[in-house]
Amino acid sequence: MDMPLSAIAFEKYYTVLVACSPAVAGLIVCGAQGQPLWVNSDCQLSGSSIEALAQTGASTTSCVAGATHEYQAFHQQIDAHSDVRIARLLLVVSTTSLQQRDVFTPSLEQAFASIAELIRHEYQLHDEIDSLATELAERYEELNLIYHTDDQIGDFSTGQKALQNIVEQCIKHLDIDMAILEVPNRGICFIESSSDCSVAASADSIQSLRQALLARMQSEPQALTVNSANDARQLQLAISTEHKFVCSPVVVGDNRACGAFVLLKEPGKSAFNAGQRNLLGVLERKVAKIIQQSYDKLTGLLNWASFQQLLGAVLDNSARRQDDWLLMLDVNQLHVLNDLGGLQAGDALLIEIADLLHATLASRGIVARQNGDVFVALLRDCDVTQAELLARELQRGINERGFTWNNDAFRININMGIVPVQHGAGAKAVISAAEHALAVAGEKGVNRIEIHKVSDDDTSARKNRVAWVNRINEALRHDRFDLHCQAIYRTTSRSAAHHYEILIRMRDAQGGFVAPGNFIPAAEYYQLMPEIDRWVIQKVLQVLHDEWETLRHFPHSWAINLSGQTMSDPDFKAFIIGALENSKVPTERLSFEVTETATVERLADARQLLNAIKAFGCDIYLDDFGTGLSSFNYLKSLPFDYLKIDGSFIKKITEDPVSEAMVVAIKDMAQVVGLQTVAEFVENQEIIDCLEGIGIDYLQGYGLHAPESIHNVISGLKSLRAG
Amino acid sequence: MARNLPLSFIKRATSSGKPANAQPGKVRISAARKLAGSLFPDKHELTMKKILLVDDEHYILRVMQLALSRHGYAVSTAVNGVEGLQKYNDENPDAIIVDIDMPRMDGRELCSAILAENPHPACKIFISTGSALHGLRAWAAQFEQIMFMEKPISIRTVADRLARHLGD
Repeated sequence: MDMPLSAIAFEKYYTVLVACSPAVAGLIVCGAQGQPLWVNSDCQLSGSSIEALAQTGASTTSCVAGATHEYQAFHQQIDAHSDVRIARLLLVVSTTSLQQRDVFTPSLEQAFASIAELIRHEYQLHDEIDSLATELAERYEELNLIYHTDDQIGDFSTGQKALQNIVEQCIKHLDIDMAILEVPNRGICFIESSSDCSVAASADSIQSLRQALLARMQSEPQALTVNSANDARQLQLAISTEHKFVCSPVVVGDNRACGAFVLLKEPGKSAFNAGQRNLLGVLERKVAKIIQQSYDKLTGLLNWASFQQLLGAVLDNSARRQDDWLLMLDVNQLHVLNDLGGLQAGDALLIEIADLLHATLASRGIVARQNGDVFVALLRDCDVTQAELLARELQRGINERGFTWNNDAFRININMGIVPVQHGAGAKAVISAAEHALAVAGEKGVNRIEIHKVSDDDTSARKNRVAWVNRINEALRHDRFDLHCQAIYRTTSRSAAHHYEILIRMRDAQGGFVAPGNFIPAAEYYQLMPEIDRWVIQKVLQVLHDEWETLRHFPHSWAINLSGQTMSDPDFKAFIIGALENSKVPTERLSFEVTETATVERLADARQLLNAIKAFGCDIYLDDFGTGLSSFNYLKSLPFDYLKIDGSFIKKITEDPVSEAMVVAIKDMAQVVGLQTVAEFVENQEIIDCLEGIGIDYLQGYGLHAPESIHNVISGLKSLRAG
Repeated sequence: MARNLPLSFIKRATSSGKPANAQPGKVRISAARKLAGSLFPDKHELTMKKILLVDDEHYILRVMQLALSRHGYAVSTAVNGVEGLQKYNDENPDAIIVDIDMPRMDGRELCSAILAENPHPACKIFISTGSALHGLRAWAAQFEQIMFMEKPISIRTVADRLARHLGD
């Protein structure tokens, strides 16, 4: 349909021609193919006469006989460009006879030529306006496409809808046949086709195109525009397709996730241009923004908010039949790696672990990063044995792989808590249970997996934990904690204790003892450790003061454990300074044990705190040394006096050469930095002999002295003195 | 005027500017009909859905007329509410797309006039506006017969909605 021609009002030109000569009887406008399109309203010619005149071809004149007159028609071609015919004009002049030749006077001929030129000019103007209108309409579509695609999303599912909407809006607003958005390692794939698209998204040609473009975007994330086979050849794309396409890489934050966003046209449609490529780039940035909001920027796994939403959806699904498990994992002592190699090193490790998690567990469920060094996985449709197997496989994978940074190899340990995802429980309850299981695993040591099997329902488990809090609070109020202590001996003189480590036991309302493994995790979970540690400090000072008359005759110091929570409690420094200042016993008889984790997590704060304590003459022990990503470097910057080698090495020292080598190495290093060494878990004579051979300074363990009540110990000292 | 009609509708212009088949005027219609669908619409063209665009912005009329014609609609235009109401009554369109801010009679007045005559007209009424006034959407929302569209209008969306509402 020739739109510009339809926009021309020919009547005015006819009026001018009539004014030029009274003989003018009509103006006929024919289309490019010669078909009559318009004739003046008062034309007296019959339809057949008009057709007869129009069909005489391009000759300059033609004629027909009318009822009362003869008619001659003079022709003018109207060409837009040299070769493109727009229309043909027929000026119909009435004559008395066909032989009359003078009706087409030079002035009329000139006027007719001018009219033809004016029509040609008007046609071109209309053509230009139509082009502008078409262009404007396309820009409006693009604006609408931008307006109607969101990149601010509330949660995971709205994010997925927003991505799908972007793909749908492309089909709606652009003259394309297919839009494909895929980011494989985010599990994203949306494909939409126009209603008249002749090829299915599942067709081999489309599949191979997708694969080739994905591979290309991943190896070389640059936008591509291909309108011909030649374009594809020039871009060295191994694709044989007749489709036209523009493809933009989808690059998400860390540059690790790379997908492809492809707009595709079938052969025969207009070529893609730079504007459309740029528009696709804008949409790609919206896509990336949406993805970033749902996924963890560093690791590319789902972020915590998205995971919680998906977990909630799983729990809400009443049709669920199979067992699901929530696995929570933390990386031991990531902060040490951060301290040694900078955040880059820690980040690199997290990325490696995320990749391994994804590779091991993604096919079984949903994997996400909670925060920092904690990851979660929802394992779908598996029993407890399968869940445990998966966890062990993952643990083995991480242990065996290790981590290398700047040519230093690190062994990576992880703890895991696994809990059943029980139907009817809220997501928060399941997550709390997993956090608790993970805390229990952490309490038990490193590289532990704590599985809470389906035994009691989650509500009672939660009630159980709440009950623990009440019991601990009550025990604090009613002084139902007891101080125990275990002797530490100088290796070279094991007849008398050199000093004692203070331990804590809790009694229940009935007076029975509660194992620390039971109440400590709950106390940690509910942040009660700072209170317990404060209680211990006050109690120890009080007992020592009460028994000072006896104790002042012995050289022992008394070592109090400070938990990680206590170390990071901002009010604790003031408390300990106050307690030591007011102490009625010499403060140099007190010492404190801190763990690597607690110390290195907040190195600057820990240094300040330990220096403050040290100013009172107290010794500082570094506990559980050797289990994590320990660095000897930071030992020098902290005021430690003793280094307690982790019991896991000591227990195996006689049978495991690696453990022995570790102990030897720690001993040598400690010697260099001027620290005394203490071996824990010394359980038998064989171990004692071995440690003695190595030259460890102090020994502690059941093989020498089992923990007993501080009152028993003091009684023993009293009898010793009396004896 | 002939210029406001697509080419396939080009016909003998009449003194009144109305389509020749509607008002033959002086044209010898019996003879003209023999012209094999060039001067007169064929059967398909006669069944084309009619859209009336009312907007005082000529370029908007141009853009929409061109695009909707390409989508197969017979499109006529008016530049204010008064002309729009006249053409609405004369041409009995299947859908009318009305701008809000117009001289002489604005879009709200035009819609009210149409609905006053028939509260449930067969014609679908679309309001299109570039105004950011919140009240407009609310005003349109009170009439279930009036559909609201914001400028810049996506012709593809309009075509989708027309196709849906006109049962194409």
